[in-house]
Order: sequence, then C-alpha cells, then structure tokens
Amino acid sequence: MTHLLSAQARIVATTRIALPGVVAMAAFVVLTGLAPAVLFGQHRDSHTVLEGSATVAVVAAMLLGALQTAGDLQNGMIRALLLVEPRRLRLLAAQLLVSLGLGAAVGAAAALLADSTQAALGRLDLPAATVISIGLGTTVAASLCGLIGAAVGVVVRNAPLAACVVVLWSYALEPFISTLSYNVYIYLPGGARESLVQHVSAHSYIPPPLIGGLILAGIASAAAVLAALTLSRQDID
Amino acid sequence: MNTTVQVRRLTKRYPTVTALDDVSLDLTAGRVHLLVGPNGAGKTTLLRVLVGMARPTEGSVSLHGRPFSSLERPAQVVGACLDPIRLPSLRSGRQHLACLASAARLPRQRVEEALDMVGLPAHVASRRAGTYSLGTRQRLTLAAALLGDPQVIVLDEPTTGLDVHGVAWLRRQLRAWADAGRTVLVASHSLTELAAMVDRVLVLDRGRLVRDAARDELDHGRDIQTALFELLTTNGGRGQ
Repeated sequence: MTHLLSAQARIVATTRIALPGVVAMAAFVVLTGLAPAVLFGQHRDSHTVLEGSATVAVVAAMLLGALQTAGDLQNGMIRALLLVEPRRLRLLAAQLLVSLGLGAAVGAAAALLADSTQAALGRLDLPAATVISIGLGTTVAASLCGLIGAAVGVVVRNAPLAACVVVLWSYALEPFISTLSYNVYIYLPGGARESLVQHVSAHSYIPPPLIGGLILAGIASAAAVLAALTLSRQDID
Repeated sequence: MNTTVQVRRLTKRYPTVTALDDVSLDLTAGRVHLLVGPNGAGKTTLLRVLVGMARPTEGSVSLHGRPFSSLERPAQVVGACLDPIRLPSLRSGRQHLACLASAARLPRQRVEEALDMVGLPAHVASRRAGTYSLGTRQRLTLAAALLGDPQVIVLDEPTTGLDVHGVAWLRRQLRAWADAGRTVLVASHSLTELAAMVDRVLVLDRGRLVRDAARDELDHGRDIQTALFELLTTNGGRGQ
C-alpha cells in the first residue's frame, strides 16, 4: 500500500493543480484577513476571521480532491494505473488517503495564516487554547472534506462538473438548507465544520466539536463507500 | 505449446449492443497474434476486458492461469498499450512513467530504460505530455507498457501516429519480443504495416471470433496482406 500512496502523492505533486490551489487559498485567507482592517478600518472579531478561513480551507480541500480524482479518470491516468495495480479499491484508498492528507495540509496552512494575520494586526484576542482548538478543527474539517471531494470526483468523473458540484453545494445549497432548517444543516458538512471551529449562535444549537467531527467522519465514510461502489462497478474508458 | 492467455466464452454486452459474443481463444508464448476485424468488430473491447478495464458480462479471461485483477505484479505479466490520445497533459512523459513505476513497485531506472527502448529522447521526455504529437504519445504509451518487462504484450492500434522509422522499429520489436518467448497480441485494422510479422491471425466480426488460423494456413504461398484482405472481405466484411 505504501508504494501506491507514494505513487499517488507523486501524481498529485505533478498534476500542477495542488500547489496553485494551495497558493490561491493562502492568498485568499490572507487577503480576507487583512483587507477589512487595512482598507476599510473595520474590526471583525478574531473568531469570525478564523471561521472564515476554515470555510475557505474546506472548500479548497474539497475542490482539490474533486479535481484530482475526476481529472485522473478523465485524462486516462486511472487507466494507466489500473494496468499496473488492477485492484481498484486499493487504488481508490490511496487516492482518498492522499486527498485526506492534502486537505489536512490545506487546513493547517489556512489556520496558521489566519492566526498569523490576526496576530500581525494585533487583533488575535482569543485564548491560546481556543486558537489551537479552532486550528485543529479547521485541519480536521479540511482533511475530511478533501476526502469527500475526492469521492465526489470519482462519482462525477468529470473535473469541471465536479468543481461545479462542490462550489454550488458549499455556497448555494448548504446555506439555503441552513436557512430552512438549522437542525438539518448541522448534519451536513458545512454544519459539521461549524461545530469543529466552535461557531457560536444565539439562535441555534451547534453540537460540540467532537460530535461535529464524528458527523463529518460519518459523511466522509459514506462518500468513500459510494466512490468504492462506483469505481468497482463501472468500466474504465 | 505454452498457453499464456485463455479467453473462455467471453461475452460483453452494453445496453444497446453486444460487443463480444461467446469468444473463446488461447494465446501462446513466442507468437505474434494479430487481431483484425472491421470497425466495431469488438477488438478494443476484447483488449479492454483482457486487462480488466471492462467487466465481462459472461465468461472469463485468465493470464498465466489467473484473472488480471488477482495478479500480484501485473506490470511484469502484462504490458498494455491502449488509446494513446488520452494522457495526463500537465506532467512530463518522464514524470508519467515515474508515477507508474512507483505504483508498480519498479526501480526508477526502468523509466529511463523504457524511454530508451521506445526511442523517446531525454529532452522530449522532460516536456509536458500535452505538447506531444500523436506519434510521441504512442511511444510514451508503449514505454508505459514495457515498464515491467512483461511476458504478455497487448497493443491496440500501435502504429497509429508512428512515422516510418517508428513502424519499422515496432515491426522489429514484435518479432524480437516473440522470439524472446513473450506473447504478443496486436489489434489493428492496418493490414499493410504489421501483417508480415504475425504468426497467427484472429478475425473478429460483430463480436464473434470468425477465424483463428496460423499464418501459413492463410497465405498458401501468397502475399499475407492479400490473404488477410480476402479473409476480411469474406468473413469480416459487413458489406458482403
């Protein structure tokens, strides 16, 4: 299995999507952290800024995972790999684990950048334990969402379509569901992410981070099973 | 005779078409097998089922007595060259092979050896595959097939895009591989380029194996290309 993980990591590194994706995500986190204060003199509380960076990290991780697996299916890389490792589920496991790792890196980088930006502005007014736990929550959320994104890519099998699915889900459908029923929303990836970064709401119940993490792990497991069923049953073009 | 590939009662149905219909055949070591047939005869589907890309509806395929999906080191048993048009375009040819070598647990030096074998120069191998001509893509796909130094070599339309030197090289290689005891299966609808190199001819038509003959059973002292052309226009010609 280690050789497959190593091969998959090499594939991700040479696809030239991961690095630009991480750089774009980092730039977005820094800009959204700095711009309101520097350009408009606005003061947003640190927790809101850190939550915002978690959202960006989670969407970036999902996009990277989805683009990687759907792209590999589209451009013939999966076929080339299956000729040297025909056990499809092993190959899928390697893809999902590497996306999990990449998502963790994206989440950790986003959390560190957001903390650094706030510290540089002198506005990191949260206790150290809270900053650390939000950072860990961001990392866990981004890693599991990286895996979910990779599973979406396997099911959709088309990179632009997979990207559209991720963006529409994250920025349109989930927010819409949250306005309809927050009690449903907390069981979705976005709601679980809010639990993990300790979102505070005066109106709605937000489960504790551990429960949010378990919910997200459950969703990721279901997505992995769906991807496994899809890949094992379909012919490869 | 050492049978390395066994196909038994293989049927592959798609929702609207039966691509393979009860096909049985054996491929033997030390022979070049040419799989011919008109467009849509099922040649590519047979190769795809052989290497696990498509699931058979009925029947079985085994390589060295085992299904492809249960081979421990498949790259050292089978090397397949399918559709060279689709290649990851953002990584270089060398990086592409390095990824495959890593997945196949092959030493990195096999990448350079395979590139050397197919005559892909170092500076070309360092360029992004998206910039390659069809012939260069074909060579890269061949290099990927040869990475594991396999015992069975499966090639789908391998002359597509190759220049005259490439075709000449491939003809020599087919013979060399077979003479070294490897099993070679080539699917092609080009009768002129590879016919002289073959030992056995398999004719598919509308998913059925309609002829399986040694070369000397076909040509009867005539030019093999003419014999194949007549065979296809009588057994495999849909217009007949």
